[in-house]
Amino acid sequence: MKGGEIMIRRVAIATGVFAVSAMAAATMTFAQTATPTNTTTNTTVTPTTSVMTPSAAPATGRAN
Amino acid sequence: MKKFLFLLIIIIGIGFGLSVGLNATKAFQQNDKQVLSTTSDQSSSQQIPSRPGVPKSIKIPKIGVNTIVESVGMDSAGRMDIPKKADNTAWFDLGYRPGQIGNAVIDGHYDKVDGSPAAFWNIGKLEKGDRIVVTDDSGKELTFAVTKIVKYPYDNFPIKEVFGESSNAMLNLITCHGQWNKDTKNYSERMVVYSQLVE
Repeated sequence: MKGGEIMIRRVAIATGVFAVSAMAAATMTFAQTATPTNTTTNTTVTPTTSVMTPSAAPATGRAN
Repeated sequence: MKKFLFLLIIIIGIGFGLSVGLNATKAFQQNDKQVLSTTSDQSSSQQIPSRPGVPKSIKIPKIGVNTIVESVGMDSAGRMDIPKKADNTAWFDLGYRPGQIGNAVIDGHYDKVDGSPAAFWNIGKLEKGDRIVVTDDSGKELTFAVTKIVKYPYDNFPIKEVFGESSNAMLNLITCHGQWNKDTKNYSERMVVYSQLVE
């Protein structure tokens, strides 16, 4: 193996080790420090009026 | 020498990774704050309409009515219930409140068991424009103006028109009218005084 090829191989290995180390550290840091998102939905409740109607008019004559 | 270089690369890689991870975390949290802020702005801009209070008294100056408003639902026959006392009136609390968009209803007896006048004996004397004042449980007064007076046969009473939806804040007064039937113990008609919120 020539000296140039050896150098290229070493650089490739070093780059790979660097990338793996960086990814692992980044993943661990993010997982430990990121605040979990509050998934509670802030909904606005529109008040609704439930209305009933009687079946007949009232018996308003001759009160006891 | 080789081992030293290998360790140096790993240390630099870890340092770089920590930096990337922290920056990603900051960006993530910043984005989260913006989302929460947007949600908060949306909720504060939506106004919840206030609901009128529960009616407690009613005044009709023209005919000298100034009495208590009870709260009632339906009787066992499904009719709007009536006030316990002949001189009181009653608001249908399963329907709209006076002052609310819709048809609120207050009923009152026409007469007593001996035929003498009860709370709504004289509402037939009201005319268009006459004032009706309702005071709610917070002391707030709502003034309504009579728009029309209509008599309906008891067995052909327009329930939805009197009790149902409306595009205005209506207050409808109901009492008996027509002929007294001794057998059924019921009057043949109902009188409805329609009024609309004016202030």
